[in-house]
Amino acid sequence: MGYVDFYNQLVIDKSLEKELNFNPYYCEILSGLTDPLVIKGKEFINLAANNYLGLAADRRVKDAIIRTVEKYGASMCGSPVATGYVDIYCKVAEKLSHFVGLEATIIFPSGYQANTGLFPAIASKEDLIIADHYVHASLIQGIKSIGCKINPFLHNNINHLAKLLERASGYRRIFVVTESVFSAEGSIAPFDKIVDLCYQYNAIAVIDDAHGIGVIGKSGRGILEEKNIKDFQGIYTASLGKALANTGGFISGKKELIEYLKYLCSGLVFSTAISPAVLGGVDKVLDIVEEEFHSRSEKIWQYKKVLTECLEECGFELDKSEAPIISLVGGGFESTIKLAKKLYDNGILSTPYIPPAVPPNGGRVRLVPCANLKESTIKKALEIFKKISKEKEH
Amino acid sequence: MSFEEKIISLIKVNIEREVEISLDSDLNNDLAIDSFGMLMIINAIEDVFSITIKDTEFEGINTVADIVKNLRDKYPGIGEKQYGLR
Repeated sequence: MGYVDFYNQLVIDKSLEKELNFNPYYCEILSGLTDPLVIKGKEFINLAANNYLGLAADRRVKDAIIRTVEKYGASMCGSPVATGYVDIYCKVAEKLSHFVGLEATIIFPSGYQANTGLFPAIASKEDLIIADHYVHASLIQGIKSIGCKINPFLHNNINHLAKLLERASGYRRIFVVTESVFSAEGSIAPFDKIVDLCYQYNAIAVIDDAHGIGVIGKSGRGILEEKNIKDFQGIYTASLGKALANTGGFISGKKELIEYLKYLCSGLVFSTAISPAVLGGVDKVLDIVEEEFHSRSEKIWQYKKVLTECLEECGFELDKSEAPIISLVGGGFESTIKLAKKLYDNGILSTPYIPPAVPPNGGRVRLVPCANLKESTIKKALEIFKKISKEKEH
Repeated sequence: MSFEEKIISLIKVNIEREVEISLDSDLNNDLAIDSFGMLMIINAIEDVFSITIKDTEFEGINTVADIVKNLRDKYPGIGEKQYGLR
């Protein structure tokens, strides 16, 4: 009993790792998000990172971060309510608001923290939260912490959502929660229709644009631009650690909401603020996105097209992805990990999704062709897929 | 329609994939129902039969037959008055 009993319960089944001599998770990477990427002294084609626009290791971003470190040091060692609210925090918050077209913004040390911190601040047990079946773990965690009624709706299914809204009665408030780009399979929410339904039923729309910001919309401003949603009245959250190539997350919306969260969102108030260095990086990335989105975006869609065509020709089963994400159907846990290993053994780093990140038997191997990859790298990836396909035949 | 058929039809319209469902269907392996998916089905059952199912009531449920048995055990006569289901 006691410690022995406690630690004996903390067991991860690593039998498949032992059998395959492979673990796709926690690979120790010895380089930045460069092309190639280096793991255990071996060069890899990186199709695993969410570095869509390829800016994470961009010289200009690195220089901006260095300059910010020179000015502010490593950390402000305090929450934004104390010493963490530096001028660059305010500048980047304002810049993000402008970028996504909303009134105000608060920035969190992580997107996960933004999502988990949001709901306890705005919802209560008397509310109803209706959420897409496939929303991210951070949203589920945040929603579940309220103890209110939760009603999931079938993935991206407007009719199902409408039925649930129609039946909902007796709640203080109704929130409808979804994501823009569902990153495991690359589907995009019909958010314009969801927003309309929310107006119709007096519900409050909450959107997580983690994989949409910097990726979709004609100038990369995310889901609101993609779906031409003007004067969005709901709540918008997003990540700074994907296309925006830094770390952190943020919530944007009406001034009243942000002012309220600044004082009553525990995930913000009781956490050391995001590092100024990161904000320096975001500041620079936003400038680059304004200038270079079109060329970078064109590249990732072109890469997606050629990779998808090749994979289909090679007989891989793919999800119908609407985003610049390629999602290989892996099936069960074991077959998904084996597919990722096959790619790894041939020099491609991918992201295998296994339950509970995806539904049972819904394993996926995700490939994200980022804009920093050279054309020669993509050609090499095509050759690798063909080689793997031929090996499958024999 | 029997009570069993009603439960199967409720599951059918509350899962992501079109798949054959029988009483023996395993919720996890055959129907790929995860915890959020299970919540969707529980909510649908609550709505249709006007009952409130506690979080713990569906623990240890593996198959469609388990759902039927669990509901019958906990809510004797469920579906009979409203729908004439047996």
